[in-house]
Parts: sequence; structure tokens; C-alpha cells
Amino acid sequence: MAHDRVLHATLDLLDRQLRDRNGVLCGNVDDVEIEIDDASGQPYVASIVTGPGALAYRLGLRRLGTWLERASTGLHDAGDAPLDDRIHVPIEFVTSIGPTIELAIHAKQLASYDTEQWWVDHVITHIPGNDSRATE
Amino acid sequence: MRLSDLLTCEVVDSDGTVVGTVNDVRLVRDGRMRVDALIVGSGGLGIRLGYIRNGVRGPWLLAKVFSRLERRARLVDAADVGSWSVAEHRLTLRVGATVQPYA
Amino acid sequence: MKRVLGVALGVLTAIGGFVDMGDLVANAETGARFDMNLAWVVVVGGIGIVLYAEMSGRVAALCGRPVFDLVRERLGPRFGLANLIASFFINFLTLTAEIAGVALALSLVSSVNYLLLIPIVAFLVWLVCWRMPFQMMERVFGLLGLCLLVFAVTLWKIGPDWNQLLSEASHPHVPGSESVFTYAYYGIALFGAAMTPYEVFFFSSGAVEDGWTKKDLGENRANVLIGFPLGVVLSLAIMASAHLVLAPRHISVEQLSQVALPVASAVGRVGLAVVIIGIFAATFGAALETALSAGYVAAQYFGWPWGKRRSPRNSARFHIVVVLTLLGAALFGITGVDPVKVTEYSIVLSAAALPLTYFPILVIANDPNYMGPDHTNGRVVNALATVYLVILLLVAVATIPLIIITKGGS
Repeated sequence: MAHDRVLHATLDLLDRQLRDRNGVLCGNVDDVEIEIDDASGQPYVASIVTGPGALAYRLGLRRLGTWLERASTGLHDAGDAPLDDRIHVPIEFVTSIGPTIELAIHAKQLASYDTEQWWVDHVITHIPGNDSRATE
Repeated sequence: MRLSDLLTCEVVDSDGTVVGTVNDVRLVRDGRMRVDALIVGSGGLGIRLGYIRNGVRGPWLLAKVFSRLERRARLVDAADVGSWSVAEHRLTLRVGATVQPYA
Repeated sequence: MKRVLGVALGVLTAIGGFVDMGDLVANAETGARFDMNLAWVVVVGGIGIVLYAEMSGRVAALCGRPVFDLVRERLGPRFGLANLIASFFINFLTLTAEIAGVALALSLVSSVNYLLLIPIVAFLVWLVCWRMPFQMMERVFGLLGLCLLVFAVTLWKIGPDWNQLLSEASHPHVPGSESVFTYAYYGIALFGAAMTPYEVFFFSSGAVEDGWTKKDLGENRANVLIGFPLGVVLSLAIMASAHLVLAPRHISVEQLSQVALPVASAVGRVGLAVVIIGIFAATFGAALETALSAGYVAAQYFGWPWGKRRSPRNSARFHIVVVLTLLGAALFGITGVDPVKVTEYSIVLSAAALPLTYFPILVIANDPNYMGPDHTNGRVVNALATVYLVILLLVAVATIPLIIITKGGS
């Protein structure tokens, strides 16, 4: 699958689970950004869109979605895989397309990570035993 | 342009005849991930479930149902789309565009 | 020993999922009211859950994707969201019922009003979700749940005419005192209880938590083929003992304690003690499964990190959903809602939501891109699974009208 030349967007991309460079689950493919090549006039896939805004937009809540996307600004230092914003992952940073979609970025670079971190900082930290890895 | 917007567009040919709604987009990876063709007018469920392209063959009943549903699907070459103005939810094809059966 | 413990996931899923509040109540209720005339539904439901749980475990082992992940991927965000809301709501009702069930079991031994115990039970459930390693949880509650085998002992002690029991079960008819509609309603309740969706949510997520791979396909099969049939046997034993002990005395099951009545009368005090431990373990196990499932379905729909094997710091939203759901269920429980009624509604409603969960599993289990060329469904499994898909659809369509016609089975 990963090396197939031909893909179908709804089958192979939309709603697949995203994993970051360390294998951490970091959202789904909520939408796909298509751009038109200036020279040829032909469309191509520019990036994968992820986050609650994109999902809301896709579910038909377009205003809410657009608003949520605008609200998620601010950039983290990203090393060798910098993003333009926190909801678009350029297709060049997709390393593999299969049952999960593997990304070359770090989960922290995405806006959806902030909510996760908010709960950690405001709630989880205050509960004893939050660091236990529940494995044997 | 968002894929989700493209998936709401109606495709009409140069005479104004409706071909159908865009249900899926075929992508080809050759350097870039190019939008190669639109799959139109089927409902798209069979593709989404993998019955059309992913080699899902069973169970027999579902395979039959979905391949039947997809029989109406048409393939439109991306190069035949006149303008990609998804805001109007309508894509008009160029004169002489070919619409071929899919699957 | 390792092999024995290897089927712990299946045994816990079956004890806590198959034989939970829903089955304890539904089986005892129908045994007391319909004799053995609905026993066949338990067998049909049991085969259904074996089929689909095996598929979900196989998918999880081969591509690491749990069920709700696939639900969104194959049904799309809208149907996926509809299923998420429905499953979450049903799961919430089930969790409320299970917590009440644990509290009721504890109140039988402590003679403290069960409503006072609900907050404590909810806290304990949360503590296990927060701290206890997944495998330890599987083993402790799976093994303790085996105490429910005392229902089989009960049946054997009563010493019924086995041939007659079998012929009653194999020649079902609608009893003269009941209408076709109530018969169908309770049939659906039993079917829903047997195939409750959270069983596959939990089983497949558990397989990912246990780190199953291709090597564990045998373990998957063993889990499913030992766990769920065990659940069927227990369910039938509960039904038969209710039929033999409660029906002649015209006792209808309105409280959880009445489920234990046949054991107390046939096996005595020791039996009663054992059955209370069994009910405690089964309902507590189910409370864990439903609480975790609430987190699993939400996290898998939205793509968040999830699972007990990660520390809460690394799966914050998952743990927050679990704790909020538990809190909500405990609050709903202390309002004094009738736990038996909540149970009934949860299993009947789950029957209506079944196709949305089981359909994507069937499709993925046939997809060579996920399963590899050698592990997609065989013909026999596919044929059976198709029959069940049709049954699931029919049941789903019939459920809501039946609730209205029978006024909730009364």
C-alpha cells in the first residue's frame, strides 16, 4: 500500500489515524488541502489538515470550523520539519500511508496537542500517580 | 481548496448537462501527489469501503451490492475540468471532455 | 500457567462483558418469565459475539487498529459521530447499571444502603483504571468472575430432568401468558446483552494494550473460543436456575438479589457467598470495561493517544473522558434510578446500535491491505457473518417499535 502509485483520497487518506515521528498518535486526517499548480493549472495535494477545526468544517459546521482553525495559531520550534501553521502537515512530511499515516513531525507541532497539554497541566499533574506507566 | 469542499461539487459538462457529484478523487504519486481524476456519480460508498479498489472481495453479498451500486460511477480526467471554483459547488468541464465509466 | 493466563482477556471480556449486569438480569428475568423458551437466543447471540470478537481481535493483532478507529475510517465522520454518540450513551447507561450492580452486591454483605456505596464503587473503578496494570486487571477480575460457575453447581444440585430441560430449550414457543411482542422484546434484550458493542470495543482495544501481533492469532482464537462459550454456559445456567426456582414460586426478577436466590436456596450460605463474589467481580469487571470503553471510543474517533499502557500524562484526554464518564454515571446512579430498568434499556438500545459497529469490522476483516493476503475472512466465517449482519439489521429496525408496543416489556 505504502508504495502504491495510485491512491483514492476517501479510501486511503481521509479519517486515517496519524502518528508522529515517535509513533505517538496525534489526530486523524480530518481533511486534505488541494492546491492548483501555477504553471500547469493542475491540482495536487499540498497538505493534510488535522484538528478540531478541520473536523468541524468537514462535519458541516463551517463557520465554527474556520473560527477554530484561526484560533489555533502560534508555532513551536520544529527542527528539521517546520510547519507553516499548526493544522496543515505538508505532504512531504508524510513518510508512509497505510493503516496509519506516519509523519516526520512531532505531535507537539500540531494545535490539537495543546488541549492534551492543557489537561496535563491543569488536571492530570495534580492527581497522584499520574506518572505510573501502567504496564508490567 | 479543501477536499471536503470538492466532495460537494456537482460536475456539469460544457452543455450544462449534469454528470453527477464528486464522490472521490484519484491521486497519482509521481513526484507530487497529483489529482489525477474525479470519480463522479456513484455515492462513493463502495470505494470508501474498499470494495472497488482495495481488493476487498468478501463477503459475497456485500461485494455484490457495492459493485452494483458503483456501476453508475464515472471517471472524469482532472485535465478536463475547466475551472476549479469549488465555492460555487460546481465544476464545469471543457468542451470535448471525455467521461468514461469507472470500475 | 502462562497459557492459562493468556486467555485472561477473553475470560474478563466474557465474564465482565458477556455475563454482566445485563445478562444477569436478562437471563434471570427471562428464565423466571419465559422458562427456557428464549434459551436459543443466548446461543445465537453467543455465536455472533464469537464471530465478531474473533474478527476484531484478528484485525487488532494484524494492523494494530482497534474497532472505533475503523468505525470512523470506514463510515466517515458523520456516521462515525452518530455511532460515537449512540455508543457513548448506551455505554454510559451500562456503566451506571454496573456500578449500581457492584454497590448492590456489596450492600448484600455489608447491609449498607447501596446508594451510599455508589460513590465508593465509582472511586474504586477509577483507581483501577488509573493505576492497575492492564494484565493484572484482566487476571484478577477474570479469575474472580469464575465464581459465577456456582450457577452451574446450583443447577446440578437442583438436579433437574436434563432431558426435559433440553427439550424445552430446543422446542421454543411463546408461553400462553405472554404476547408475541413481549417475547420478541425480551429476545432482543437477550441478544443485545450477548452482543453489547462495548465487548468488541474493549476486546480489540485490550488486544492492542496487550501488544498482540500476528504471533498472537492463536491466543485470539483461544480467548474467543473459551471466553464467550463460557459466558453462554453461565448465562444458560442462570436462566435455567431462575426457571426452576423462581418461576414455580411466581417470583419475577425486579432486584439483583433475586438473581442470587436460586443459588442461596440450592447451595446454601457458601453458595451465596461465592455467587456474591462472582456478581461483584462480573459487575466490577464490566464497570471497568465500560468506563475504559468510554475513553477508547472517544479517543479512537478523534485520534487521541489512548490506553492504560501509557501513563496518564501521555494519554490525558483519554483518562479525562474515563473519569468524567465515571463521575456522571455515579451521579446518575445516586439519583436512585432503578438499576434493573437502566440495565434493560441499555441492552435493548444497544441492539438498535449494533450494525454501525459490527459492519465496519466485517469489511476490514476482508481487506487484504489491513489483514495481509492470508488472514482475511474465510468463506465459512463470511457466510455466517453475513447472516448475522442481516439479523443485526432486522433487530435494529425492530427494536424501537417493540419498546413502544410493549411499553418497555411490561
